[in-house]
This record gives sequence, structure tokens and C-alpha cells, in this order.
Amino acid sequence: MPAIIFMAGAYILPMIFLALYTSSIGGKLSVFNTLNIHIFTFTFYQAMLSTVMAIAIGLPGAYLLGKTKFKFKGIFTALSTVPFVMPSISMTLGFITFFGHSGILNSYFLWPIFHVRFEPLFTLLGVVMGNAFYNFPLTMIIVGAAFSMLDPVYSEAARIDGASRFKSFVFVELPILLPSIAAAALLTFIYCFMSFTVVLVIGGAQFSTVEVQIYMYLTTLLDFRGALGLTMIQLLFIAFFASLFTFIRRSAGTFSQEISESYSKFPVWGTFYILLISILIFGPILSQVFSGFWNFQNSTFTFEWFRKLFSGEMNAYIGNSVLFAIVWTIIFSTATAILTVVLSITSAHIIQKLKLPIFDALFTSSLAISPVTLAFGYIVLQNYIPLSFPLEIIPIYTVLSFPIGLQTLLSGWERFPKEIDEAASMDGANWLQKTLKVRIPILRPQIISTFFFAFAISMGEMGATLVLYNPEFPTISVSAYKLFSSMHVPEAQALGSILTISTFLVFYALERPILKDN
Amino acid sequence: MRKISVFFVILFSFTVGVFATKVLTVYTYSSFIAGVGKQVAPVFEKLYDCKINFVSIDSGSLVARLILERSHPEADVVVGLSQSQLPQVFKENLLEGYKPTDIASVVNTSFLIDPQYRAIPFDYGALAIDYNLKTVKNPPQTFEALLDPQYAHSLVIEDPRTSTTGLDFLLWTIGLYGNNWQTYWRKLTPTIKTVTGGWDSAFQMIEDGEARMMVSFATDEAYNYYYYKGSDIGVTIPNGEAYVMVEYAGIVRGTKEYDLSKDFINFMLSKDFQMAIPLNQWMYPVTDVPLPDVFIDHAPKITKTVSVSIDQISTSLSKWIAEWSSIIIK
Repeated sequence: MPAIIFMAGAYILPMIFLALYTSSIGGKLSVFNTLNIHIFTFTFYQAMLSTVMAIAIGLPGAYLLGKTKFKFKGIFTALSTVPFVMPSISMTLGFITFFGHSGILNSYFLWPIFHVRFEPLFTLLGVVMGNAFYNFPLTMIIVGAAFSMLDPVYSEAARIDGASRFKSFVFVELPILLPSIAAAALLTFIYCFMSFTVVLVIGGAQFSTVEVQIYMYLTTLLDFRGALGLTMIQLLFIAFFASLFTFIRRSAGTFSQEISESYSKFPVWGTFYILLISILIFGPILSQVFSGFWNFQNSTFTFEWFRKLFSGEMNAYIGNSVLFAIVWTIIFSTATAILTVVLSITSAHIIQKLKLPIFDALFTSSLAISPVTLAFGYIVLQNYIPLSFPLEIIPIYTVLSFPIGLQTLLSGWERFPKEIDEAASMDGANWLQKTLKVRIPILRPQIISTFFFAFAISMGEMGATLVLYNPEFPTISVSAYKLFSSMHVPEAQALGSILTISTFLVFYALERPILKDN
Repeated sequence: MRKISVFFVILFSFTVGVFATKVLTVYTYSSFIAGVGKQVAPVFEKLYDCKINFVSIDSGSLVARLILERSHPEADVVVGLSQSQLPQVFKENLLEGYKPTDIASVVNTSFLIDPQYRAIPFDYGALAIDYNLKTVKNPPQTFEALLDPQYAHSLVIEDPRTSTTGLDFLLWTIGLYGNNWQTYWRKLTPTIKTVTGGWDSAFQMIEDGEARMMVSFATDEAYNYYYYKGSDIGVTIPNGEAYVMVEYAGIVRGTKEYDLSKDFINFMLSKDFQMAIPLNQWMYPVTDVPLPDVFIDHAPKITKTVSVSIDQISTSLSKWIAEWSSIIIK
């Protein structure tokens, strides 16, 4: 099974090397103290709240995405996935310029019109909003893909039997959608649990998570034992959670069904939903894009930052040219996305066919090891194996993207109409024909979602990239970080705008086939 | 297999034969490479007929990298260690001792903290409070003044767990208040607007007006004057007692280019190198070279300094950070 080989080589091996290395240093493990326990509890608490909120925001979107047609659907979907890739520093600025005390929302809308201010920054609400903002696309896309496969005959039957629209949703459609909701919820929970920058930036240190402690052990205190100890506790916890979800999904049963191509009427609430999302989610994104074109000093529109960015003046700070950063980022992201899709399709199929839910939980909990820790594992590995930056970064990105791909495709295979597959076999189709002609077309929404997420994760990844970085192969997110930290804030904003706009364009082009119109 | 290795051996000796230039691998952070590095590397390369290979490493993982690579060191010289990192560097025995020939040119001898000369100072700066000139009319002149309600909820600080600036600020207060630092921090919390993960997000908040004050560096105003001919932020060093951050360089233990590394360390104290410090690093040179005008006009003169001894840092750092966390994280 290719996924096992891959994960063993790219994920378990470096972690074992790091663990071996760590155990060779003496010292006692000192992670069990009241502070860490407090932080652990808080991390769990905020992750739960954030997951609930992300799903609540994502579900209506999933319905609209999967079941209805509306104007600007493509733009809406592409834009809502953008937060997922925004480098955290760009997102900070987006959030601050939009929700801040003197931000756009307060200065231009709420205060002048209603004489109130909405200030979620540096509060728990802000943290939960930030996490939900980052992760609701998971629900929207994964459950949306399931919605689009939902055959209306069931709910129609329920309606004929006298069930209300709501009742038929709760008792008929929801159970069918449960595997995909569980998949989205699990991923969202893990991401919120692992949240680092979002929490630090929007909430501040008082809301810090376990990941912040791990980072402290790794970099400030250089206590690798502490870091690894805490990582292992986190891993066990996440693995427990992942198994729980897998169990829930199993017991929900699977629904193999015909593929539907039906659409419902666009509901009235849909307009309000899109409007609300536009304000809460797109506000920060648009203000981030906007800030790349804005001179804050004298409040004018300008292309100056872009000119500076491409003139070569910034190359010294980035360590290379911006154009290279864009090219390499696209190369890394595309390679990762392809690798992730291949691994996810095959392994999800095998897990599904051989009923190996344990691997599902096992692979998914790999998310509990942070990119930074993984990168440290690779540094130790470099001592023994000739590896270097561009070669090791694609496996790392793939390790980080694989769980999402796996979850997405599992929820696809679970509802895969086996009859079609069997019918094709009876007609004498071989494996290749079946794969190309039957499986891939049917799973297309899930495959594209996976490509989507893997591409997005690679584009926005910074933790591991920064540790192993080699400026000969620059990436956009690290370049933006370097510009920020060398006080070239406006130019960094401009680069952030490029990342946001280009992600949007890639997604827009890619997701059209998800919203297939036959 | 054998044929291939023979081929590589031949290719290798050929390459070495043709390009006999020695290569010095220097680990440092990216802004050093872009600034001083770019300016002075050609001088050194010409002087010693070699190539400098700068490797950019994020300062957060610089020491970690040296530790993890200890068995197979890649770097010959490391540039940009802070004094709070030195205890760990010494404990792990990562650097080779070498006394530069011109060590007497270092003006402030208190920077020479290691009798074995494993870490050599090459520049220093000071922490300061940056404030928005429009919204802060009378900046705090003392640490006690920072507690005044007029500054409530206006100061952005960095997290010492994730940011060296944040760590240095914590050490500043420890240097000033000694064992009473926790009492001071409890009183300081109403003044703090937020604690950011790194210097850059804090700087953003002051740039776009979200915050009125932040913990930053003494040369920020001079920087703005130099690049933008004016500044919307001012700097103040409360109590007039600056926390000085000294940056160190050292020779990595296990280097194969020991002699060239020694030359590089000597070169770092030369006039060429030290003159390049102010306008690239926005730090002060350690030797007695003339300062540019913008430093004289717009950067505070550092007279009195506060410090925390490296022994104290070595024994108490993790305890301090834990205590700090329990004050800030409620």
C-alpha cells in the first residue's frame, strides 16, 4: 500500500530519528505542570467551540454549494477557500484592518451608522471566529461534495409521507451526510487544536495553545525532550479523538447510492447567508488584498508597492527574486497536490474495501505533529541521508495534506455506488478502464477538493518551510514573512495580495468542475 | 557501482583541482545576508581568496539547527547569536574558542562575557518603547509611568516564548526589578493591549494605528528618518537605562575551515565591517568607528545599561518564562 510506505518514509522515519536523537540527550521530562495542563484544557475548549462554529457556518454553505445554483457561485466558493491558504501574517492584517478598533467595519459602518463598535480582537470570541474563519471551508467543500451526490428521491419520499422540509432534512438527509460531516468535523477539530498563529495573532498570548508551548521548547528553551514529550501527549489525544470519530462514522453506516444530478431551488435564507459570509469572511480577505494597493501614510491608492516588489529592490531581503518565489511555489504546490491525490485515492479505496478504519485514524492523527517538529526531524535525518530543501519539502507538504485528502476521499468511497463498479467488471472492464472511465469521473468532486486543499496547504505553509528554507528555492509565504520582518510591510502586503489573488484564480478555475453542470 | 564511484572520485578531484577556492559556510539570519553580508563579503573574499556561502536560517531555529547538526556540522561560522542563547550554546559546547587579534578594539568590555572567547560580539542595539507620535503626546519616561491609566490597553509586547524581542523585554524588567519583577508585571497587565507571537505582528499593529505603543528597538526612529525623511513613531527608553542586546558570532566546533573561520572573526572587528553595521543592521558597532548622522540626530545615545548575567539566564530562563506565562495566561 503506497500510503503506508510513503508515511513510513516521509513521516515516521524523521520522527523516529528525532526521538532517538532526543533520547540520547539526558535530562528529565518536565512537561507535566499546572501551566501546561491549563494550556491543554484551554486548547481543547477553544477547539471544541471553534469546531462547532466552523460547522455551523459551513453547513448552509455546503448545501448551497452542493444542491443549488446561484449567481457568482464560482466566485463565492473560491473566495471562501482562500482563508485556508492565506499566510497567517497576511491574515492578521486582514483581520486587524477589518475588525480592529479603527478597522473598516468599525470606522466606516458600525460606528457612523449605529454608534457601536464590534471588537472581537484579543477575546475568546475573536479566537473562535478566527479559527472558524480559517476552517469552515473544510465543511463547506467536503460536505458540499456529499450534498451534490445526495439523491433527492429519499427526501422526496419522506416529503410525500408528510414529513416537513426540516424533518426530512434531520431524519433523512442528515444521516446520509453524517460520514462527510464527521470527516469535516474531525479535521476542523484537529486544525483548531493545532492552531498556532491564528490564536496568537487574534487572541494574544493569553489564549495560547499547546503548539505555542511546543514551539517554545523547540526554539527558545531548546528543550527537545520537552517538545517531543508534549507532542506525544498531543498525538495520543488526537489519535484517541480520531478513533472516536472513525467509530461514529462506522456506526452511522454507509449509503451506497445512485449518483444524482438534481438541484433544488435557491432558498430565501441563502441570500442572507451569502451576505453574512461576505461581511465576516470576505471582509478580512478583501481588506488584505486592498492593503497591497493602499498607502496608509497618505491614504491613497498606489501601485508603488508592486513596482518595488518586482523592481528587484526587495530581492536582497527575500534572498531571491519574487518571480522565482511565485514559480517555485506553484511547482511545489502542484507536485504536492498530485502526489496527495494519488495517495489518497488508493489508500482510501483500500481502507474502505478491506475495512481498515484503524489506518484511517492513524493517518489522520499524523496532523497532531506540527510542521515545525516534523522539520526538525528532517534536520536530524539530513545528518544521515543526503536530503536537501527542495527535495524534502514536497514530502513534508504531502504529509501535511494527506489526512485531508484521505478524509475527503473516504467520504467519497463510502458512498461510492458499488453496483456501477461491479457492472463495469461484468462488462469486462479491466482495472485501468474501471479507474479511468468509472471511478475517477464519479469521484471527481472529491478528487478536485483534495487537489484544492493540498495545493492550498502547500501554498500557505510556513512553519516547516521556514526551518528548512533555502533561498535558492524561495516560496511566496516565506518571502512575505521575510519582507515583514525586515520592516518592508507595504511590499509584504503586496506579496500577500498576490498570494490571495492567485489562490483565488487557481481555485476559481479548479472548482468549476466541482459544480458540475453535466 | 564501483565504476560509478570511481567516476565520482575523478569528477570530484577534477572539480577541486579547478576550483581550488576555499568556501566558508556562514549560518546567519536573512537580513544580515541582505545587508552587511552583501556589502562586505566581496572584501573578505578578495582578501582571502575564498567564497563565502551564506546560509539563511531563521533566528528562531539557528541554535537548534547547530545542536541537531552537531555530529555533522555544515557551518563553519555562525553569526547572530543573542546573549540569551549563549548559555545553551556553551552548555552544548557548539563553538570553538578563539581570541581575535584585535579584541582590544571592542569598546565595551562588558560584552566580552566568555573567558574562552567562544562568542565574539560584533554589534549591539537597545530595546525601546516605540510610540505613535499622533496618539501619544507625552511618552512614558519611566517604567513606573507605563503603569499610569492614561496608557491603559495601549502597549503591544511580544511573547518571550516565541520571540527574542519578547524575551529581551522580559529580561530588561528582570534586570531592573530583580526579584520583584513579577510584582511589576502584575501591575503592567492593564497597560498591555496584547502579546503577539513575534515582532512583526506587533510592528504591523503600530503601523496601521491599531496599537499606540510597542516594544521595539531604539533605532526605529532613525530608520524612518533615513528611509522616509520623517517618522510617525518616536522612541523612548524608560528610566534611561537601556537593555542592551549584543549580537555574537563564533566558530562552529568541528569546522573544516578553522583558519579561514578565524580570519572571518578577525574581519568582523575590522573597520570595513564595523562601518557597515549602523545603516544595515540598525545596530551600533562595537568598535570605535564614526556613526552616521542619522544615528547622531535620531537615535538615543545609550549611556546607562541594564543587564542580566549569563549565569542567571542559564539557571533561571525556563523558570522565568513559566512564571511569566502564569501571570499573562489566566
